[in-house]
Amino acid sequence: MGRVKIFTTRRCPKCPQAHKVGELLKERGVKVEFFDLETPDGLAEAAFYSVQSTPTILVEDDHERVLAHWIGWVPRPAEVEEVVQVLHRPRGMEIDAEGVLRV
Amino acid sequence: MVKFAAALQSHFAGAIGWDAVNVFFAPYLEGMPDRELRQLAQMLIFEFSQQAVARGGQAIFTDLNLYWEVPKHFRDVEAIGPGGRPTGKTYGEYQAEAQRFVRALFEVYMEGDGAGRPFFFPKPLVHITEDFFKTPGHEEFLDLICEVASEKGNTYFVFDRGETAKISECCRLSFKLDESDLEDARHPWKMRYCALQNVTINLPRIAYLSEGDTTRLFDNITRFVETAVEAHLQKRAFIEKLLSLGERGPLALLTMNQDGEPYLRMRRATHLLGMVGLNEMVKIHTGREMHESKEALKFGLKVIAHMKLLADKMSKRHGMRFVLEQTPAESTAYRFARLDLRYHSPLAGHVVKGDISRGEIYYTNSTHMNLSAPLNPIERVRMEGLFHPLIEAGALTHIWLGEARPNAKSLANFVKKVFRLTQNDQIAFSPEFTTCIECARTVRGLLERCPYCGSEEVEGITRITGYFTKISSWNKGKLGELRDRFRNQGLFKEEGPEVAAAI
Repeated sequence: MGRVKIFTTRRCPKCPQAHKVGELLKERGVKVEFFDLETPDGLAEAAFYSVQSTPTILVEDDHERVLAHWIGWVPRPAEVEEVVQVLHRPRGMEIDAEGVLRV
Repeated sequence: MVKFAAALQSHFAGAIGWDAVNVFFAPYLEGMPDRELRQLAQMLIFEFSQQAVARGGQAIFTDLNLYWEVPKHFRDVEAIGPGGRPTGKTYGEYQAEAQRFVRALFEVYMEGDGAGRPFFFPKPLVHITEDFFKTPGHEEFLDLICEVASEKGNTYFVFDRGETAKISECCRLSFKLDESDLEDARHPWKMRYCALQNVTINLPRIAYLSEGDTTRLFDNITRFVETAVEAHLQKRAFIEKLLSLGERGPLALLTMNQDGEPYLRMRRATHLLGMVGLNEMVKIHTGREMHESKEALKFGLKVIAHMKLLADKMSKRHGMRFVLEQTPAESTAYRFARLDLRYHSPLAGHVVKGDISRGEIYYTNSTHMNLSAPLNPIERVRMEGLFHPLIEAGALTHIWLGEARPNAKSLANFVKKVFRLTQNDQIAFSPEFTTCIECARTVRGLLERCPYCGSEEVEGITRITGYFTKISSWNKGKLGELRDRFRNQGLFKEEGPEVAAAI
């Protein structure tokens, strides 16, 4: 099913907007996780994905492979949703080891 | 320069590092014939390697920070030349001379000393930056320094990505330059930095004390870090007391004032919080070592993230710079393991690395992965590099080569991929050597007798942590580690490009 991960800090000016996009996607049934880089959990997750600036939004599949990311700016919700649609693909469509969608 | 380094070494236990050495020498080298230039490079390395003025007759622990391009923050700075006078040009205009000199230095490193051994000191640290790859001639230079890395192991590759600028020294210590430092770069002599000490935290000890309770574990880390900070406060108060005695005190050299502030700029001093045995802590707490599962790796990252945030908090609270550093731990990794075996057995007996029956026990250094794990080198560099952005005062990944002698192109390709595709701060390739005391010849690998004359009077040489040394001087813990090291033999020879492409 995959998920969207959103990395923010309290002081970054674009981060509230990233939060809003995340909330909107959540309302539409997308699994969204928020990470605050001022907490150990958030900072550790950011280090794991080599996140260097905020806000960062990334979409990953079930195997924690990153399919798309937006670094330092906030995309329109539709852009994120477009990638998420791949994750909501019908049964029989799989992403192979190289990250390519196969039917 | 060498004599002043000797004077400084008698005040500091750690390394004496010099920034952009080839750049600052360049104005003095204009018009110097190649032969003389080469002689100067040889003299610099010989003198630094022979000045046995440090504790117990050791050579000065010296680091030469070197650049292929003139770093951005020095490019437009007025150059100082012969007679200590401005030359009327900027350092940027001396790039060709700086490049000639750095090439000459590496040609000397390639030869090694009279017996073909690598020079232990001074250590050459080459900064790999975005501009490095834009500067003509970089490919040829990268091949040269990679050849030295393969043949002698001297080269350290320091990665300054984006706008990052730093000065590196000691085993892995680095000072990241902020805006005020870059302002100081207009007057390079003002750029004087020091770390007052490193207080190292025994992470496996915290795991034993916490008995599997995560809340307790993080509370204990906080408690240990607060104790380390208290140690720093006491040390700083003591040093300030000595400095206040000025010229009459024991630290007179550090109080001299030539440019409006004391030589030792306490306002810019850092206080290091080190760590040993993250890998073992994670194993005790989660049952897995960091390279064995993603969850274990993420838990290790959470521990270091917690320590980093604590260091930031302490810095604000005390108005001082507390930063994390990977403790090199030549002896600490051994000492902590021995102490825990005494106080936390039987559990510690299952956790410490090495051979208990020989007494050769140790913990894995700092945030490193298990060094005996047969990890692909690029995977090790990537995984260990995930920690590096959290460890502001320096981190390093070792690639143990053993007897392997990879080709320069293969290593150069590896270095480029590490710069582009990982967050790793610094890497070093470490070969092993045997040198014969009888016939004064040096061969690759650790051997019990000289293959030339058959003598058993041989000495093994390799990197202990952040520098080369004779194995006969190692403690039992490091000897145990040496037995366990996974050597990347054969992984680079023909497979370099494929291995690197697998990032």
